[in-house]
Amino acid sequence: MKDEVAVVFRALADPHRLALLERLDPNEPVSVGKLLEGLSMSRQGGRKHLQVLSEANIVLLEPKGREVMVRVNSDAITLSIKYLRAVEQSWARRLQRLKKLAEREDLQI
Amino acid sequence: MNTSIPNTIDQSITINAPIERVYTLITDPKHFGTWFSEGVDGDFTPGSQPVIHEGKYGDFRLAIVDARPHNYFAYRWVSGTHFTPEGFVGNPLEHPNTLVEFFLEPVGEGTLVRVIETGFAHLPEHYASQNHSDNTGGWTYQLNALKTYAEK
Repeated sequence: MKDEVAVVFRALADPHRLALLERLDPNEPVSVGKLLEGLSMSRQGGRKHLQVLSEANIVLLEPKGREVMVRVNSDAITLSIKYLRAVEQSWARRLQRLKKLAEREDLQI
Repeated sequence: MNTSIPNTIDQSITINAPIERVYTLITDPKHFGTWFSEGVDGDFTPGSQPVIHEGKYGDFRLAIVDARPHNYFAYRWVSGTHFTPEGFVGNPLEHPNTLVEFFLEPVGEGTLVRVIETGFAHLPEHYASQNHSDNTGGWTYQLNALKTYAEK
């Protein structure tokens, strides 16, 4: 598995692809046809977006008979979330330290 | 495309101290080196590239972008302490980097500090490929987390 955060970020930086992702049930692979049904994007556009998600390893495209099934790979997402969480936590800690220091009455600057 | 998500960290804190004081703590390397890092080599004037020491996380070089007393300070770096275990002291401008911006504004007698870090989508893959150990949290949880970032 290519668990690469930046690739995931790039792939998700698009409202169409986020919309596709929201339609997916992580426990239930769905055919490409069904996934794109009723969406405002063209079939060709939808396939293109799925291809990007697949290249980022966010979804897996699996041929099954005459269909291609779309399966979510939540590992890739998890890693990205963890990365941003870690950065966020670092900032939260730093800002708390800044506040503490700024509010110290004995500190002359 | 109107979205750059999930590409941004955005955090704020209210500090009970005057804006001049807070600005100095952020932009004077002597002080920055006490609350942010464990020391700094170099100065923080725009254009300069000081190195900050982050203890076990290594050293990181900043490229100071702008400093406007007492409201704005910005630098670029190759960051992510958890994912760049040896630090990064190369020229940040010659590598995919993130932009860190501090926005200060007076609130009553205190100061609101807002930090925005952008550019994560441009980081190369290998900077962020560490420590993929546990894998908890359901799909809904993960998507909600993504949305939280997206709506910021």
